[in-house]
Amino acid sequence: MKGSFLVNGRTNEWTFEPDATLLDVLRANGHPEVHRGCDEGVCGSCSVLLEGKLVNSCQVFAASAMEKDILTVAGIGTIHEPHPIQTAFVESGAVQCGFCTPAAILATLALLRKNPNPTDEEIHSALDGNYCRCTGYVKIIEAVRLASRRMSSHD
Amino acid sequence: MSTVQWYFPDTLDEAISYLGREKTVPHGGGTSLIKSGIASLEGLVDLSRLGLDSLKMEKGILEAGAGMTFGGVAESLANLHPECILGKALGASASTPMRNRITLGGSASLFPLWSDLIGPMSVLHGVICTEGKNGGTYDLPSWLADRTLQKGSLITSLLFPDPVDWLSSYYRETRVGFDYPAFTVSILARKNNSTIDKVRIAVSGGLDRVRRLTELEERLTGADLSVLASLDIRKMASVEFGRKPAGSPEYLSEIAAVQVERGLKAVLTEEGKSR
Amino acid sequence: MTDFSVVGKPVLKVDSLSLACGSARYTADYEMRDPLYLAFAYSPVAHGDIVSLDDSEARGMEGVTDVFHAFNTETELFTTAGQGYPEPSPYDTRLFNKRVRYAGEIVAAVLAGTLSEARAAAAAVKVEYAPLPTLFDPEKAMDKDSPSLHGEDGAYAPLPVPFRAEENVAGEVLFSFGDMEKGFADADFIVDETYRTHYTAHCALEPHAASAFFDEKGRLVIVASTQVPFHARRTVSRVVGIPAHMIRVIKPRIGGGFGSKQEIILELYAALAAWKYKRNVKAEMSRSEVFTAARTRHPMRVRIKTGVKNDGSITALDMSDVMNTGAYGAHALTVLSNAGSKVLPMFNKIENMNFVGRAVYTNLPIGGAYRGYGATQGYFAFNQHMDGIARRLGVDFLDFVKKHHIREGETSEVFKAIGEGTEGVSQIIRSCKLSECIDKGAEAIGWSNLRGKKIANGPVVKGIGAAVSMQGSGIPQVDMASASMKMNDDGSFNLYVGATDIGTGSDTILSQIAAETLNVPLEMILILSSDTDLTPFDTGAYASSTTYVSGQAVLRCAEKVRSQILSVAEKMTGAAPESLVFKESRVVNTATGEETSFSDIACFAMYSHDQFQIQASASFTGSESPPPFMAQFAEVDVDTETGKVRVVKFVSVGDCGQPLNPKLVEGQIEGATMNGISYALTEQYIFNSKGKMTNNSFWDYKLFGTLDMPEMKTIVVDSDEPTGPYGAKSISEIGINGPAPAIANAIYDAVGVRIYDLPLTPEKVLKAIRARTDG
Repeated sequence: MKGSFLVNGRTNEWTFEPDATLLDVLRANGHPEVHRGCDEGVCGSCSVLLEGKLVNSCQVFAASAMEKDILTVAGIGTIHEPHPIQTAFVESGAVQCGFCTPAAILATLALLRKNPNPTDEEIHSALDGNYCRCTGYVKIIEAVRLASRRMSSHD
Repeated sequence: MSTVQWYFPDTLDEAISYLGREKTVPHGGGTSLIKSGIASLEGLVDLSRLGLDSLKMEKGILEAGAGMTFGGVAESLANLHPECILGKALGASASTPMRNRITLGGSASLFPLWSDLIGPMSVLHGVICTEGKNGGTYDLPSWLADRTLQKGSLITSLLFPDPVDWLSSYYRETRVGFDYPAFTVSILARKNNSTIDKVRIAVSGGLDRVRRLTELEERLTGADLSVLASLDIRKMASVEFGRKPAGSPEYLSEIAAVQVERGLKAVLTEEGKSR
Repeated sequence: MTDFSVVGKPVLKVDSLSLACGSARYTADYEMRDPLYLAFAYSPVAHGDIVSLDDSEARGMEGVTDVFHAFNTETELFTTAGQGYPEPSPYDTRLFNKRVRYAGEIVAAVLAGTLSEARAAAAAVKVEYAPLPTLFDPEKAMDKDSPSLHGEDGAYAPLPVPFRAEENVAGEVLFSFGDMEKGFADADFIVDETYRTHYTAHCALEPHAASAFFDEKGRLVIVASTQVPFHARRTVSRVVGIPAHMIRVIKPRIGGGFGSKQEIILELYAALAAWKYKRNVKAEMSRSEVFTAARTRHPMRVRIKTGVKNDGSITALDMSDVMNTGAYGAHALTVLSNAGSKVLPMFNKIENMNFVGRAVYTNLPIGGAYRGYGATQGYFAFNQHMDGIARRLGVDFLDFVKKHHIREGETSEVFKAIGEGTEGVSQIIRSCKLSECIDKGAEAIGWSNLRGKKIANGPVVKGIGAAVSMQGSGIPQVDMASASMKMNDDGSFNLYVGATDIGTGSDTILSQIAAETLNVPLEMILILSSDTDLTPFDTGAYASSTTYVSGQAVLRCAEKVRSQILSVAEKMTGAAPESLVFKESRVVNTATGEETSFSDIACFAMYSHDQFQIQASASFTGSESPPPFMAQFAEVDVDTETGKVRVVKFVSVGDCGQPLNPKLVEGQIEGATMNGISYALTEQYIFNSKGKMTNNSFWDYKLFGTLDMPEMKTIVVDSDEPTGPYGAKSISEIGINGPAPAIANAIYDAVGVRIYDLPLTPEKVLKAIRARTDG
C-alpha cells in the first residue's frame, strides 16, 4: 500500500506492505538510526516519538502511523548541530556501543518535554522500556540529569 | 506478501459495518495483533479516528474510551485520583513505550493471563460497553464466559461505577520491573474507624484467570480490624496456578497468598503501610 | 604519577556524537543494491541423523534463489570460534551437519529476494530425522553408556591438546603441584563443595548481522558485526573456499559483543551465498535466533575441596570442573582453562594444588566466549567457598582474602601451568592494589556496620557480601596487534589499527595513546580501525587484550613517528637533538626558543628535501598478561516469606593500572557489573524435556532495566602497571565476575543459607530458607 509519513518534519510518500511495522518502513526508507534490537517490543532500541509519545516502532503497524507526526533521533539534532540531550549523553559517557542511544535520547526528550525537572525515580520510570547492555544505565541516568539541568537553565 | 485490507472509518457505524466482514478485526493501536500476526486476516479496522480516547468522570462514574492507552489512563488518573487502583495498575504495566500503545479496548478484548486491567476490572466492578451486533454492556464474568460476544461488535468504552474513595493496593509479581506479571493482587477497601466496611480482593494469573476471594471478603466485611491478626488469611487466599517462568505452581500459590495478606494489611493498617 | 595531557583524562569517546545523532552505521544499516536475503531452518530435535531433506516445496516458492543444506553443500570440519590460528577449539562442525546435535542447529539456509520470502521458504524445508539418544546432563557425558556426540565424524583438535571425542571430552586441562595427600592430611578441616553455573546469553542489543557485496573489482566485501575481522576473513576463506585475497572484511560500528561476536557464523553463510551467485547478500538474526543459533555462556560444575588449618592457612586446594560446551566445542578448552588460570592464582600461597577440568559435549546450545570467560564461573564457586571457610574459622572474609591474595612482586605456579591451548607463561605480578580495593569498597558499602547484623524490617532481612577477582590483559605470547600511522601536512595523524571497537571505546583510548605520545590534541588523531584491506592485523577484541596489547602496538608506532618528527626537526633547524623538546603540536629548540610546528615539519618532509612521508608501523605481542583486580560488594534485602532478593547497593572497586580514560573505565565496570547482577538473579535458559529452549525472547529471558538498578558505586584505585602502555591494564571483563558470588554471599549473610547453583531465583532462595528452618 501507499501512504504519507511525516518524519522529522518532512512529508514522504512511501510504498509498504500492509503488515509492515513502522520500524520496517523507517529502516527501508533512509532511517537506519532507528534500530532493530528484538522486534518484540521489549528492548526499546526502535523507539521513536509518534505524535510526541514514545513508542516501540516495531510494535506499530506502519498503516496506523500514516499522516502522523514521527520523530527519530536524526530529527532532533545533527552531528554538526547536536541537541543538548545528545551532547549530554556524549559528555556523560552514556554512549558505549550506541545501539540503544538514539532511543534512550528520545525517551529522555519525551520525559523532559513533559517534566523538565524529573526526580531520579521519574527518570528510571521514563526509561524503563529502553534496554542497555553496555552501561549498566548509570551514565545514562546521569546524562538525563545533565540534560535536564542544561535545558531548564536555558528556559 | 500480506493482502490484508486496512479501513480507516470516521464513524462508529462505518467501523461496525466493516467489522461485519469476514476475518476483519479492529485495531486500536495496541500490540497484540503484531504479536499474533495478521497473515490469516483479511481486514483491519483502524479505530484512531473514532474519538474513543476520552476519559470522563460524571456522577461518580468513570468512563474510559476504548481507545485510551494504558499510559493515557494512568497519567490522567495520577493527576485526578492518584489513589484509584485503575491508574496504579495500568501505570505499572509493561514499559513506558508499550503503555503508550496498549489500549483499554484491545486489552479488554483479550484479557491475557498477564493482564493488568483484569484485576482492577474485577474489584471495581467494571463494565464493558460495546456497539454493533452484540451491542450492550457486560460485566466481567459474562464477558469472559462468552468470547463470541465480540464478533461483529466493537468495544467502545469501559465503565467503572464506583472508582474512587477506596483504600487500594495493587501488586504485580514480576521478575524484573519491566515484565508481564505472573499474577496480580488487587485490593479495595473502605473502613469506618476500626470496622471494615467493604473489601474486594482479586487475584489474576491463576488457573481461573481472575478470581475474587469471596470467602475472605465475606469474613472481613463488617469485621473489626483485629480480625486481620486472628484470621489465617494466607490459607483463605490460596489460588491455584499453572507452571510459569517465574516459578512452580506451588510457589506462586504460596507467594500470591503472602501478597494478599500484605496488601490487606497495607490497605487497612498503619503498620502494614510503613513497609 | 606522571603528568599526562590526554591519557588519564575523561576525553569524549571519539565516536559517541555520531552514535548519539544517529549518523553512525551498524552492519544492517549498510544499503546495498538489490540484495538477496538469507533465512535459516533449524533442527527441532536435539540429537539425530538427517535421513532426508526435501527442499522442493521451498525452491518452488516465490522469490527463492537457492536452498543450501548438508546434501548439496559440503564443507570440511572447522570451528566457529574466532581465535588465533590454529585455533585451540576442536574442528567438530560443518556449515551443515548431517547429524544434528542440539535443538536449534542450522540445517538449511534459504536465499531469496526478500526476508519474508526467505523465512517462508525456510519454514517449508522438510527434514526427516532419525533420532539418537540425547545427552543433556554434562556430569554424565563421560559415562560409558552415554551417547558419543562426535565419536564418528572425524572431529579433531588442530592443536596438540587433549581431545577425546569418543568420551565426549572436547577439552581437558590438568595440572598439579605440591603433595595433595600430605596437604589434606595436614589440614584441621576440609571443606568440599560443589557449585553450578547456568546457561546465559550475551544479549548485545544489536543482533548478529553480516552483509556481503562485491566491489568494482569483483572482490567480496563482508561487512559484519564481528569482534574478529581478521579471523573472520581467514575462516571464511578456509571454510567457503574463497581465496583470502578476494575477501575484505569491514567492521562498522558494533552494537555490543561481550564475546558473542567472537564467533564466525553469519559471515560464512552470507559469503557462501554471495560467492555462488555473485549477488549481494544480507543476513541478520532475529532475537530468538541470537539465543539459540549464536553462542552462550558455558555452564559449569565447579567442585572445590580445600584443606584448612585452624590458624587460617590453606594446606591444599583441589578444583574439579566439568564444563558443558554444548553441541560443539567453541572455546571449550580455553574457557575451561580460564576457570582455573584466572581463579587459582588469586590465593597464591597454597603449596599443594590440583586442577582437573573437562569440557564435555551435550545436546544443548553451543557455549562460546562471554565476558569473564570461565573466570566468572570459577569465581562464583571460589568466593562462596572462601566465604564459608572464613566463617567457619570465625574470621572476617575480607581479612581472610587479604591474608591469602597474590601481591606485587609475587607469582603463582598456575600462570606457568595453564595457558590457552599451550603451556602457560610464568609472570610476576608488578601491580596489585587488591587490598586497597577491598578497604575502599568495605568503607563504601558500610561493611563494618552491616556485615552479620541481619537488620530486619518485618520479613525482609538485610545482608552484605563481597567477592574478589582477577582477569588478564590479553593472552601472552598469543595475541598480537599492529598499528600504523602517517603524518599529514597539517600536523594531524592517521592512525590505523586492527583493534576492534565493539562499543568498548578502544578507538578512543588508542587515539589517546597516540595523542599523548605525539603531544597533540585528541582531534589531531584520525583513527580508522578494523578493515582487513586498510588496517594492519590484530587478533581482535577479546581476552581483555585491546588496551594492553593493541595499546602497546600504538604506543610503539607513535614513538617511531615521534623520532622521525624529531630527526626532521633536527634537519630543519640544525639544532642538536638534545636541545629539541616536544610541545603541543610543535618542536621547540630549548637553546634558541625557536619553535617548529608539526605542520611545518610534515610539509618539509613531504615537499622540501629528501622527500618522504613521516610514517611508521609496529606490532606487539605481550610476554605477560598483567591481571586487573577487583573487589565487589553487594547489599541485599532478602524477603524471607517470598525468597525475593533485592540488590540495594552495589560497590565495585577496581585496579586496572593507570586508567587511560576514567569515564570509559567506569563505564566498563558498571556495564559488566549490571550484566553480572542480572546474570545472578534473573537471566537463565529454560529447557523443556527435549532440550529445546523455551524462553528464547526478551519477554521471558529477563534482563535488568532501569527499574531494577541498585545504587551503584564504582571506584578506580591509583595503580600503575609498569609493562602497560602508560601504565594501563585491562578492565573490560573483570567486573562481571563478582556480582553473583557477592550477592550469594550477601544472601548467606542475611539468612544463613548458601545457594550453590545459579541463578539465585526467589523460589530457590525460599526453598533453602525453609530447608534451614525445618532442618
